Amino acid sequence: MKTLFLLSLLLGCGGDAPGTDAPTFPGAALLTTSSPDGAWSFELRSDPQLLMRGVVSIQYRVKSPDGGVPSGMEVLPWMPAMGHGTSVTPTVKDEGGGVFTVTHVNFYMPGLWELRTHVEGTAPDDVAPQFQIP
Amino acid sequence: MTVDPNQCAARVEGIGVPAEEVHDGTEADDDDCKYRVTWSSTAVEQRRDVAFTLTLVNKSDGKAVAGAVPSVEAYLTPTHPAPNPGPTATEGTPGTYKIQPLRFDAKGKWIVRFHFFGGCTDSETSPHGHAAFFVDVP
Repeated sequence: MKTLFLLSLLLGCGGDAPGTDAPTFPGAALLTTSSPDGAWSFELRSDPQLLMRGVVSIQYRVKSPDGGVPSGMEVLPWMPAMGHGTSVTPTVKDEGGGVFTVTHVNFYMPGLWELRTHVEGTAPDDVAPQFQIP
Repeated sequence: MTVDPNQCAARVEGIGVPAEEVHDGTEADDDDCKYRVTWSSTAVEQRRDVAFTLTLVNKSDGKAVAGAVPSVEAYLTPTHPAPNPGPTATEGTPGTYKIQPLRFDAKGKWIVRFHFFGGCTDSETSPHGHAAFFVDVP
């Protein structure tokens, strides 16, 4: 069973095009979680730090218990209430060392969203952290 | 087609995103042929806020569709969405919605996709629906 984490986040300030320029991420993680069998741990950070409706960027820091890192990752924004995602395709960039920057994450509608995440590597696995978008 | 509002309480799991038919012009049916969708806008220019007026009518009985809470995805390419802040919708007379501000940050043939009843499951008999239009940005 997937481990899902739900965060209720407050509305942030909306500047021009966050998520489309080079994003910046805070020191503190937005959430931490692990894959169902514990093969991978995840720290997620966001730009803007307080998630909002619109285009955002997410940074993943992923590692295995022995310090291994994934060889790749795919991310699909998904709204369970609708049963579909978005027409905008997130761009996943492998920064090295288990750090992945995901831009063009389009939370275009308020409500509960998931980031359906598939990790490639020694133990391919899936997680789906959830976010309440105001 | 009969739209079942009870489907708004349902939740489904699936894969992918709905197939997208994109229309030229300012009037079309939604992707499930439940609604007739008509839009107009203020002048479309780069880097200027644009306001859309959207009307939604039931195809089955011709009545205005109130409470649709439309939302918008706008993108030039699948990796070039419209910049923040995204627009919000307010309903005036029932079935008529003002959606603003939407800002296009480059010229080209954009896709503006309206979603209706986003809190409902996406199916042919649910109130949930979509309609996508090309918008030329000079």
